[in-house]
Amino acid sequence: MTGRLSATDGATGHSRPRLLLATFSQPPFRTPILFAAAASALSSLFDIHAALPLLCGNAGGHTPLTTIAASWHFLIATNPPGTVLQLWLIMLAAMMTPLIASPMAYVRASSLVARRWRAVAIFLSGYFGVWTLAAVPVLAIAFALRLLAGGVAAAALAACGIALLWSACPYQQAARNRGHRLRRIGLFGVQAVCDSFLFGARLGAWCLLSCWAWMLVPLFASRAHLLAMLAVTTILMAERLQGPGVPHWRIPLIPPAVLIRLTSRTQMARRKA
Amino acid sequence: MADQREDAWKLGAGWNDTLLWYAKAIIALKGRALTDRTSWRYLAAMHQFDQSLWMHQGIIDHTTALPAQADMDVAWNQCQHSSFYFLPWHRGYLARFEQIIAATIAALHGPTDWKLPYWNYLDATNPNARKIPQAFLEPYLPDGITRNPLEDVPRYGQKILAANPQLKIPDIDLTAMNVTKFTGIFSFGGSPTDFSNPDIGVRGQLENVPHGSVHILVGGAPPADVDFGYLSRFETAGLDPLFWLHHCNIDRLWAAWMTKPGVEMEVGQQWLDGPSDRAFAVPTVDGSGLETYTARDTLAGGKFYPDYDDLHAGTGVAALLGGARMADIVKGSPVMAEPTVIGANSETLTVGTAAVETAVRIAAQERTALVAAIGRTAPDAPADEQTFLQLENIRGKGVAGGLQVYVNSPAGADLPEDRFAGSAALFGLSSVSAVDGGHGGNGITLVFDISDLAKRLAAAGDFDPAHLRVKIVAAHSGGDADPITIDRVSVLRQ
Repeated sequence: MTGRLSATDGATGHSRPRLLLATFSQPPFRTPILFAAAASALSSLFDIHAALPLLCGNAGGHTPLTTIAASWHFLIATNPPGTVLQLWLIMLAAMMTPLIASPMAYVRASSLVARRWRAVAIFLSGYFGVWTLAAVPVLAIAFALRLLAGGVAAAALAACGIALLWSACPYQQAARNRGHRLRRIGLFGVQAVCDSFLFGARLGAWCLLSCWAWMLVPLFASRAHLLAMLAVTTILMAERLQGPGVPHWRIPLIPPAVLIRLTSRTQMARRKA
Repeated sequence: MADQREDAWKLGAGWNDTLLWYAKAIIALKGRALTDRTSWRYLAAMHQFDQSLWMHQGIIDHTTALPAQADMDVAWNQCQHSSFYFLPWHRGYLARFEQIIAATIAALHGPTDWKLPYWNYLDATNPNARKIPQAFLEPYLPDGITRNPLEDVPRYGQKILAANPQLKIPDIDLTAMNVTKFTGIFSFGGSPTDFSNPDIGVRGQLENVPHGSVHILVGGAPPADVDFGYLSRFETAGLDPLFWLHHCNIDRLWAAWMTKPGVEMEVGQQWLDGPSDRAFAVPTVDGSGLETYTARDTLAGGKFYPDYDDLHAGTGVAALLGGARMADIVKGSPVMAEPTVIGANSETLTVGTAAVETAVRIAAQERTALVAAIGRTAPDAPADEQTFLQLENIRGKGVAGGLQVYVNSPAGADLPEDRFAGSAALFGLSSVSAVDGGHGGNGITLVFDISDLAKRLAAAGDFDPAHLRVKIVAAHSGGDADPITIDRVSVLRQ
């Protein structure tokens, strides 16, 4: 194709949401998003939340706090560790895979063509390995929140509040910044394996630190868990795409450009008044 | 004054109307509060802002009011580097700056058709081309009383551009103009990035030389110079009036490159209308709000498309015969093939003041193909086979410096010219290395085309397809106390 490139070339300008969707339908995002969609479908198919009555259901809703707290057996019986771990891993696969599309592409591009998939698999084992270990403290916080809040709805609200506060906090930005840092990936032998694993594990640790609060939210969503997972993934993806920045307190969720539009409208309204 | 951007050296020696009005407008802009979107400092902060550095340099103090946080989040710290947005972002930034200056000049009852001039430092037909235009060196305006804002900035480097051996920065040239692809890891314009803060970006060849070199050569950097000038840092570059003339020439080189037959221009939607996560923002000319733009706006027919008086002098692009002004360009595929890695060294390098050598091992399965491409059969090798050397994630606390790379150079201090692989002025090194900054802390990644060098080595019988020896010499302000690190040195092939 030849010709003079002009401002009207390549059809008309795309709106930003359409462009974003187009970006997600192409590498490096396409495969991780398809993988995440499959994990979400799996989670829905097995209705895993129904097997976790204390976290997601109403079984413990009217149980006195003292009774629940006194009975570790009650917790284990109503929330079997195997099921909890299964839920946790499926949730992670569905929610975190799209977030690490770029680092995965980096690992792939840094490796010999014949070893690319192996390198990505090792990277993922490091990343999800850290998150699997993190199941213990994160779920402990979830249980504690559930018990202290009394009901599922109250626990979900409290989780949202904690997550919003954490998103506003400069420490979360600092953790996110470190989740953007790349490291060398050796090309040969043991070094290639170790570097891919360590890169995944380190990224997993910083992701855990920046996302843990939001990961509590879908744990309390029973009927709408897919919706909750999608909403939280969207928030986490938006935060990731904002990229690194100087840590400071910020208004969470609302992009600065929208804030400017809002404040401009307020100023105009004041001027008119 | 013409309604086109012109060569600053051709506007008349010393003070001329264009530069005198530029100086007067800058004085007016400097008088505006930082919260004013058309103020000198606000416009510079759009490139990059660092509150503690600005306070340290006396640009602001504790009493200076800053704009609203949302305003700063959208409009400040936008500079695009190591990305295919480098050229379009700076074109829009430059265009709106020019309009704000022009509006200010008109308000001062000056001419109404003011255009930003360019510093055409590589114009071989002009013996003065490499000199900073004289008006930027005069301490006072022609009235002899008013301090000249074009000169009144920290500049510690050269007044006449040339190689700086102490900083390991070679002379500037137009090699980048010979690169045919706009996008890619080895390209004219930079690597593709989906979003505005790329985690993984590679500098385009034009961004490296002459762009980065001129920043450091003029701004200055220890150990060659006493300190860093404004031009040497992302955070202060826009505060030097010369920045705008330098970037005007870089922009003109892009415009000239677009007229070269056969160049492959980016036409992907991501580039035209991106980035996906945000729009680039400039103040409206009156500063009442912010206005968005994309790369599309910087192309022919777009609101920020510039008009230059000459696209040939100092660009390396020959004038077309028969009065034709714009050649057809190849509109590159939105998804361009990228080179793949075939070899790498085995350790992160630490480079202080001494030269460092590392062995790059080539994967066994790739050696035959490499030999076929550059080895004994080199003259018959396919012309489109290219070999690249990549320096990944160069990080350092030092603000800037220079770096040169040699392949298979002999033992000892000798660095023969025929083993030279590439160089870089490490413009923005500390900014892009800071973890808690806007650039992700991943440093600078450079790619050099070593196809011809590899062929020369093969012809000289000094090419082992299993290993390359890569020597790196650097000069930077970190010295041995804060050396630069290079995550990996790799060889790529396409």
